[in-house]
Parts: sequence; structure tokens; C-alpha cells
Amino acid sequence: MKPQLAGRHEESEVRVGARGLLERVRAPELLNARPDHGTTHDPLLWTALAEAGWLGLWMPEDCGGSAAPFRQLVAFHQEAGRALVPTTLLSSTYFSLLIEQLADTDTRQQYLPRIASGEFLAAVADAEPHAYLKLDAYRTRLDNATVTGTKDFVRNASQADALAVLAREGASEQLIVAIVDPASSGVAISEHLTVGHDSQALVSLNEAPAVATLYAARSGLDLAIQRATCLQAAELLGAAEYVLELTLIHVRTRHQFGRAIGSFQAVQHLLADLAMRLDGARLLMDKAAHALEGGPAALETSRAKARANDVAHRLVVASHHLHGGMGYVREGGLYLWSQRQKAAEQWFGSTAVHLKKIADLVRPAMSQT
Amino acid sequence: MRFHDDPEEATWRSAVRAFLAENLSAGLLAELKCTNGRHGGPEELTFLRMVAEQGWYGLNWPSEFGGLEKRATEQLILIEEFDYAGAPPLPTTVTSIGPTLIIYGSPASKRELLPRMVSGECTFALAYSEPDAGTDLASLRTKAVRDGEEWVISGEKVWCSYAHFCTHFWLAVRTGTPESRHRGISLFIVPRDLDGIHVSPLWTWGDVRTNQVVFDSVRVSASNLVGEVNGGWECIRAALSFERVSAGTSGRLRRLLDDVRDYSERTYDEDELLANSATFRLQYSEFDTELEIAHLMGLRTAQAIDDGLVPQVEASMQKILVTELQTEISAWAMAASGLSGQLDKADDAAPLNGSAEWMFREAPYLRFGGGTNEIQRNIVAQQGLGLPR
Repeated sequence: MKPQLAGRHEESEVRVGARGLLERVRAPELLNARPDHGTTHDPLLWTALAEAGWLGLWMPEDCGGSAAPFRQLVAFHQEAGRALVPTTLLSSTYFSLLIEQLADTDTRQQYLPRIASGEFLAAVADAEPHAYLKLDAYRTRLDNATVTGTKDFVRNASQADALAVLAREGASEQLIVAIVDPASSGVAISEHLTVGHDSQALVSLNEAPAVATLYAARSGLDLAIQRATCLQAAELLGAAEYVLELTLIHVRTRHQFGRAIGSFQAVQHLLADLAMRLDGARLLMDKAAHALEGGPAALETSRAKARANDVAHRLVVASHHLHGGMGYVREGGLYLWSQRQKAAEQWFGSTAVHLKKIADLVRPAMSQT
Repeated sequence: MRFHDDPEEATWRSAVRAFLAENLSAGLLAELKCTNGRHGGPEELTFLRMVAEQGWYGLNWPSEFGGLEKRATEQLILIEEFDYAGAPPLPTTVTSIGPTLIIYGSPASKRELLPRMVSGECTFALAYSEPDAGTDLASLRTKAVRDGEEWVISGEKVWCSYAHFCTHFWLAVRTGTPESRHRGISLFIVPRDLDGIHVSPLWTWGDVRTNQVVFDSVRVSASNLVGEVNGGWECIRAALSFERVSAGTSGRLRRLLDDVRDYSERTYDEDELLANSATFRLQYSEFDTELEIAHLMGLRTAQAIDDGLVPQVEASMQKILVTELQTEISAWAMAASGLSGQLDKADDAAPLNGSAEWMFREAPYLRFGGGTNEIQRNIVAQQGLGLPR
């Protein structure tokens, strides 16, 4: 099977362009030579992405961006997933999506151009120890322009120049996004060790000053989160495509019993089923990307993420199996994609979380018929 | 088929549990967490020495070689209890290689090696696979050439776990023509300290070290041959068949599932106790049932061996079931723990003491190692169902 580029022409162009750059700076052998397994922030890559305009791809032109439609950003993130671009990319993009939806012109001007130019890294403090993706359950509070609470599994908190903290305003109980400088007083960051060997931390906020407060219109917040979820699905599927390609190369070239192992029906049927699942997941992601151009699309987003999680997991498991020992030794590098998959599966909602959301969303429609 | 321990087995199970209660220290468990169960760490070696002192290294061996002549069901009890408790497994040296040596070894090699295996002084690493001979082991190319009273061995072996701390290799080589496949393979015992042996590490995603071993004109005495020249395939098959009781036992997975159950009873997802979640309960019950099947399959295999049968097909089914369950249960346990499920076992906050995360990373090797699950399915289809090759 040829690596299938996204259907529409302009997205194909995005993917070809991004792949050209990323293949030069993110080769697996380079990743594998790094003690952090090549998965934390990479300044050289960052500069290259900024100079080529990728960091501002979707941002408005007056913020230093190219104002590309959302689906092109999705196409770019497929390539980012394929090349195992560090999670600082999605962190900064998630932050930017929140700013774009919720901030006034001045605040947008303050952050977006600097993120597009690569000089500024940002992250989002979302999950709390007792709740994730359940905004109404968050307990972190904003009082007198300071933030107090505990955020967990904050991606790239240690690298970020600014944190967008999802919190509740003291008096009004209204959901807000407070921008906090992680270096300011009252912020304590404690790094976790994760299967993805990325950077995720427990962030304790104790009267940390908020440098800005964004009052969250719920639809804007939902749209930003759903777009970020779709981008995470895109990264998973870009990685899954690559893992499938690696596996196809292996089963074509690995000979046992006098023939390529890819000639055995057991292997062919396994891969045919996975290709079918991958194709289906990609269609869901394309539809979600299209829908999210216009506004929130909860159902499309949940379907896309649920299936991206599912097929990426299955592909990683099958790929390790078919690669045998060669996929299991670190030297081969396959594990770099496997461990990222396990982290990305949890991020922005596990399969179970999204299946539950789908059930909640479709039940009203079902009861009407 | 018996479903419960007979009195002798019940007494034996209590003895094994008492031993574990006394000897499986917190220090050992902490060490194993760092070394992933089999790296020859000091606490592990101390524990295994205690096991050997009980005479349990020769558990099923005939008494004339220092064995206790226990049944396969009793071996299963020991393995399941050790696995459930998280103790280091009995070395393949004594579960598989020793019993094979008893059948095929020369009187001299048995006299020299068997007592040292039972005492734990002598440990073996299997050296079968090569870069181009994995599942298709019969295509192996490492060569042994006769030179007077010696054989000269040259070639490269991979996936030699334990090679960095073993005393001997259990080495499969080609002594027939290059095309002779399984008819031209011989089995040698090769001391690791001979000249020309080069061991280098291969690190895996599961953080377990395995090794590449290069044999560069290594000279061994003709008396190191096991069985007949070109009769090695039979020894390999016999050694594999002795692994049947130990391969595919479900003790570690039952422990993982029990730990997940305990975790679910004290973990809330927002305001719902995980143990009360409908989806969690259904999946838990599914795995509970699967593990009961795995346990019963193990019991059936052991009882069949005690009845003098060779339960090849049943053992293959068991191997497929248990190794694929490890992937499924560990991935489910990670997902059920939410974002914390991604914590590496090295992080003290990792749920389930990090076991789900690590067992997920360990699982690939179990699925493709010891005869890939595709080969096991071929055995079930061809030997079990009588389908054509």
C-alpha cells in the first residue's frame, strides 16, 4: 500500500512540505541517539519549524501567521505525529487555540506572534488530580488576580514561558483561563516519569499571580479543546501510518522458511484488517477537521479520537509482534512510536471517555426516533 | 480432570507460600522492580540460593540426580505461587535444560553438570536464534567443524538472555550441510569463559537486557556434544517440551487483575468509584473469566504430563491465550488508571506499583518469543484440528 496522503490537494501539499523538512531533522537514528529518547523539546527543530512558517500556519496574518484553514493544521499534525515531534508543539498550539478563541486583540497580539516566531513556548494546565476533561469539576480558583490549586500531568510546564490555567473565578464561579508565568512565585513544578519519556508535571499553584484572565465563553472553550483533541488524533494517526509503513517494509524484506514473512496469509490478514481500521479512523478525522472549521463538533471529535486511539494501539501491538526481536531492541527505534502512542491515547480522552461521550451525544437523537 | 489440590498438593502449596512469606523480602521486590525480574542482582541471587537450598531446583528430577521427584502439578503450584507473589522464576537451567540433559547427556557430562545445576552453581543461557534464524530456527548457520578431539565453533547468536551472567551456553549449531535444515543441527554445552566468545548487550523496550553472542573459532571438547551429531533438533524439541509447564502460566496476570480490583475500590473517577463503573465491571469480569480458563488450561497440561501424555496442542493454546491476555489486561489497566496510567514504573506515584505499564512493555517479547503465536496457531490447526500443512 502506498502511503496515502490526505484526499484534498492543499492538505497533500502541506503534508509533503512538512515531511520534507521533518525527514531532514527528525530521522529515527538521531532520535534514538538521545538520552531522553528524543521526545522532549528540541530547540533546533523548533527553529527550523518557525523559520519555515509552520508554527504560525493557522494563525491570523496580523499575528505573523498564514491564516491557513484548520484542516491544514490537522494535516501538519499528522506529519508531526509521524516524525515524533516533541509534545511542545501540541502544547503551544493548544495554548494558542485558547488565546485565539478567548482573548481580546491586545492579548492575542501579545502571545500569538511570539509563538509563531518560535521565541515563546506555552502550555495548558488542564487536568486536576481528581478530574480530567470535566471542566465543571475543576477546583483551581482565581482570587484577587492570583491562582490557587493543583494541576496534574501538565505537559511541558518546565519548558513553557506561559501556562494557561483552567480555573474558576472566586466570586462568580465562572470558568476562566488564567495566564500564569511558571517562573513566578507560588508555582511549584514536579516532573513525572512517564512511559512516553515526555515532560509532564504536577503543578502546584499557591497564590500565583495571573498575568491575564480570559473569560471563557463555553462555545469558544469547547471549540479550542475539540480542535486540540482533533490534532492529537491527527498525531496518533500520522504515527500509526508510519508504523504501518515500517511494518510493511519489514514483512516484505524479512525472510523465514524461504519466503518473505509478508507472504503468509496470517500476516496479510492481520495487516489488511489494520489498514481497514486505519482508513476508517482517517475518514473520521477528516470529517472532524472539516466540521471544526465552522464551530464545535463534539460528536465528530469524539468519534475521531476514539478510533485514532484504537487503531494506533492495535498497530503498535501488531507491529511489535511482526517485527519480533528486531522491533523489541531499542536499537530499532520502533519503541519510540509505541511509547508516544501510549501517552497520546490518554491525552484529550481515552477511548472509553470518548465512547461515553458519543453515547451521551447520540442518545437524545435515538430517543426521538 | 481434578479441579482442586489433593492433600499432598495442598501441603506443598502451603510449604511454598510459607517459604515465600519468609524469603521474599521488600528489598528483593524493590530490586526486581529495577532489574525487571532477571538480571542477577544480589538480592535475587540470594533468594535463588535459598530456593536451591530447599532442593527445589531439582523439583521434578529423578532422585539419582539430586531431584525431589515431584509431579508436574506440584511444579505448576510452585510456579503459580512464585509468579503471583512476584518472586523470580525458577531458571530454565533447571526447568528445561537439566531434564533434557538427563535424557540426552553423556554419563560424564551428567556427572559433572547436574549436581552443579541443582546447587545453582551452574547456569545456562540458551543460544538458538540468529539474526536470520528466528521463528525459522532450522535455518540457523552458526557452524561447528570437527578437528580431532575438538569442535571449532563460529557464528553469531542473538536474543541470548542471561548470557552476561551465565556459566554455560546451550548452543545449537550446524554440523550438517548448509541445506540440511533440522537434520543437520547439533547441540553443544559451551562454557562461557572459553576464548573467542564475545558477549554484547542488546537493550529492549521492556528495559530487559538480552545479548548478542559472537563465537569466533571457539574450541570445545567433543565430549561437550549433547546427544548425537546432527541429533540436536531432538534435544531442542525436548527442551521446549519441558518448558510447557512453566510457559503460559497465569499467576502474574491474576496478580495484576487482583491489584486492579483493589485499585478500583479506592479510586474515583470524578465522583464515581471506579469499581462501580459499569464498563469497568464488565471488562474486569471478562478478564477474570479468561484468567480462570488460563489457570484451568495450565492445570490440564500439568495433569496430562503426570499421566505420561505429551499435551502439545493444549500447551500451544495456553501460550497464545496467556501472552495475548498480558497485552490486553495491561493495556486496559493503564487506560483504566487515566492519565496516571502513563506513569513509568520508576515513578513512585505509578498506580499498581507500575506493573501494568511495565507488563505492557514486556508483552511483545512473550508473544513472539518461545515460538511465535503464529507458529502456535499452526500447531493447533495442523496437529490439533488435522488441517493440511
